[in-house]
Amino acid sequence: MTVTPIRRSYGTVAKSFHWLMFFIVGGMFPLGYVMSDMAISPQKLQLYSWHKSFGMVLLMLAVLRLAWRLLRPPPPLTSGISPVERATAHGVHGLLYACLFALPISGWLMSSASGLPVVAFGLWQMPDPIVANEPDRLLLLTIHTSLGFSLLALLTAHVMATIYHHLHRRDDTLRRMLPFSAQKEGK
Amino acid sequence: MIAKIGALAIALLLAVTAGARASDWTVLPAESKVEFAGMQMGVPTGGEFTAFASTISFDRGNLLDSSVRVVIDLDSIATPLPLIAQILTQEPWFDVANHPQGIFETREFIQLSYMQFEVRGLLTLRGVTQPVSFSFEFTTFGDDPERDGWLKAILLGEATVQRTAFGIGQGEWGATNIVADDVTVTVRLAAEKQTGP
Repeated sequence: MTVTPIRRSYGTVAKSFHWLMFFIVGGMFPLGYVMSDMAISPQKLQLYSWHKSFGMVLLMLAVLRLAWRLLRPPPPLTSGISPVERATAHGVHGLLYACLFALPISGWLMSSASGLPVVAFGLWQMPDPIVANEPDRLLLLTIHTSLGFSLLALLTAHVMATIYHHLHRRDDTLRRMLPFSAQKEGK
Repeated sequence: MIAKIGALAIALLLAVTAGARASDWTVLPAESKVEFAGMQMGVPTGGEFTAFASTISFDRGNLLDSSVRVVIDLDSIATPLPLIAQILTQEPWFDVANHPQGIFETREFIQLSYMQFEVRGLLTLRGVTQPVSFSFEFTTFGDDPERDGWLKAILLGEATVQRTAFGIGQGEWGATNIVADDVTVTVRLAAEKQTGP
């Protein structure tokens, strides 16, 4: 009888999803902020096109990442944390996933309500789920913006928690998601 | 002398264009549409002009004496996202303040099939006149069942124009990699003509 070692680290695929989305999401905030503030210009249209295109990439990655997570459950949370900490960690992770879906979907719907369909990278046109109308566009703009600020708050909590675990608790919370950190078998 | 020639030329021009023939068709605005569709960053972006007036003299038995003149009130531009319509009225685009009207006129009709025609005419936008061909098809042409003694016609027409040929999109907007040059103009005209007493 063999004992399956407990995985302590995320796998390569899960790490790739995490860090790829880290960079894209990180770029979307300044891009979204700058483009919506700009006066109309060809550059503005270019930035909108990028924002929407990478939004669709993120939606696709979110679907694949969730599917992968269901196939390959992540390693258990670090040992020695209280039930409240455990619940908080799971809660924040769940909300982060919710935002990773809700942000691109609300952006896609907002584009549709604007009468400007999303055409990813100028090549792949997404279907229009709703007929263009101003009240829905304004509602979706509010939702999209609020979700953006919510995600920013959640990411702040996520990063702060990681720093706390790494520097104060000195556990493997950060290391198990870092690229190239060897997957160490369990105790 | 020059003034006289100028006045004569204008009088002739008026006679040739609008004055030559009275309109014998009455356009039904509620059933008519002038729409346009372009592309920006590969994204289909279109709208319509809600106000336009048409002078139509059309006899399918006498195409040589037929003429159409459509005058579009460019300020009536409407787009699903109202901001886009507002931008398009400004100086780099239609410059509505200086060029409030778009005019299409034609006297040249070519019959392609029983219901299909091609018209070759002149389109004036933003002070520039260019030849434009419309292909159109009558989806209805016959006695109006709801109105005795009247003929009803509905036509669907389409033309592709190059916006830069009219200077629509000045300066940095002249580049066609962001906003495409080709714009499709789609027209639906419903009109009636009295045939009997």
